Amino acid sequence: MLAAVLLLGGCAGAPADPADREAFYEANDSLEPLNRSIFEFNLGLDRIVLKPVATVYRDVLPSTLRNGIRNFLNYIRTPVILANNLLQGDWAGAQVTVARFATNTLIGFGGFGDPASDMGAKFRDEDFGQTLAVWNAGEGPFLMLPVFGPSNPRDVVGLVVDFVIDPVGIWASNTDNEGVTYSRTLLRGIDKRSRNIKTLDDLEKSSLDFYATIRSLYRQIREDSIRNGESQDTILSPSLSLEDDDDIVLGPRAELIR
Amino acid sequence: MLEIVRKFAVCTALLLVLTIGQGAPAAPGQDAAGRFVKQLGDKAIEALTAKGISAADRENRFRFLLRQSFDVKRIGRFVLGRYSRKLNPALATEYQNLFEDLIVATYAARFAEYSGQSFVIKRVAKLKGRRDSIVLSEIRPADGGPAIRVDWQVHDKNGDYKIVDIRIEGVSMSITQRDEFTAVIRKNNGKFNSLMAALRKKSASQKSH
Repeated sequence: MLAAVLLLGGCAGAPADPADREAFYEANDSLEPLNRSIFEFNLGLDRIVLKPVATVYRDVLPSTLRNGIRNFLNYIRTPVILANNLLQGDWAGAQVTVARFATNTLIGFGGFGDPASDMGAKFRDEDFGQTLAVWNAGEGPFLMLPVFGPSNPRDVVGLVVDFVIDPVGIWASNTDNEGVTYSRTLLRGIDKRSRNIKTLDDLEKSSLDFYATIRSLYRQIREDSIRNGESQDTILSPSLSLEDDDDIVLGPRAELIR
Repeated sequence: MLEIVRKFAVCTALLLVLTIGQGAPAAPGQDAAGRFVKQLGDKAIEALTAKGISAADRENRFRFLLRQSFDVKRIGRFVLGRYSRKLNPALATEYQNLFEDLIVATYAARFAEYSGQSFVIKRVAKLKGRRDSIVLSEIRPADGGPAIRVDWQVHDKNGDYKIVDIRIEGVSMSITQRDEFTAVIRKNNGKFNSLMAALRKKSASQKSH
């Protein structure tokens, strides 16, 4: 019920002006007013809790330890990544995941080191949101989740599925070790935030509309992850090449005249 | 037991070699667009990271390189998208100047944080039937950390190369900027002047310090 009210309340109708209407559909953010309020809430939370904690984390712990923690967090994500490699039919990706796990277990101090990366098998995260995208599920409208940040229905489903199928999480809940799950999630958040302090500060300072920038970045980063960062050369920034303008049309036109 | 571990290690190493060998990088293209980007990168690192230059100096040098190597006008129009039709000539000129100021303010200072990264061209992809190429490059940190993927979309205007977009780890600077400008206009009920006001404010605050 509450969800329905929120949905209705947040729904902004499409504007009448054609340019505005196009922009409205492109933004694909029918809950924008609500999303913006949640974003403000998240920013506040970040300012008073997450950012200070992440800053201390970055400044107090030596980088070797921080890298070790990050490596280990990536390492225990292996089952989820492998499952998604396979669900996406990405056999080569699955091989890398297994090889990384074996290598880092044997000569990586049980996952705290990442010698596999140095050998060329870089960490590449996979999640069920990406798998759904590979299966051609649409992303749905943009969502700003409290605490968790930018998302969309497809990625929310992905988040839940990854959580449910994760053997580490299953083990933790079966053995009354929920603390492990909480601290892992928390640590992951702190680790991520601690690596983006400068980037996000710069971004907030330089942008005219921080919310819109984050929305745009989230979508582009997700698309890039879904494509595994590949086939960049086949994708052009659309209108930069398609939208004709004077200096571009000039070439062929000059030839026609001749 | 030890034997099993040893076998496992050998298998792992083999598997690694097999999987990694497939993705061996191609030789850097000798393509002119690639050379153009490489030269620009080297020039930028030399000019913008010189020791002891003031922030204002850096901005001026950055602006010079920007005008020389980027099609700022085209990017500016792209970024406005459908709203660019609503511009009159006087406003268009002011917009282009403010847009350039915004780029300078956003990116010039980043070069101050340069710490010995190297800039490597990976390959160049020509786009069939188009005048654009994508130059794929990498910025590698001096400390051996993970490299950053940077793709440059270069437009070839009869041998005169101009950059029209940069994609960092798959994120297009032009598209991000366009999404943001569109959002500013939409937030203010489609009033184009709201964007101009925001740009003027940004430019003025930048110049005041």
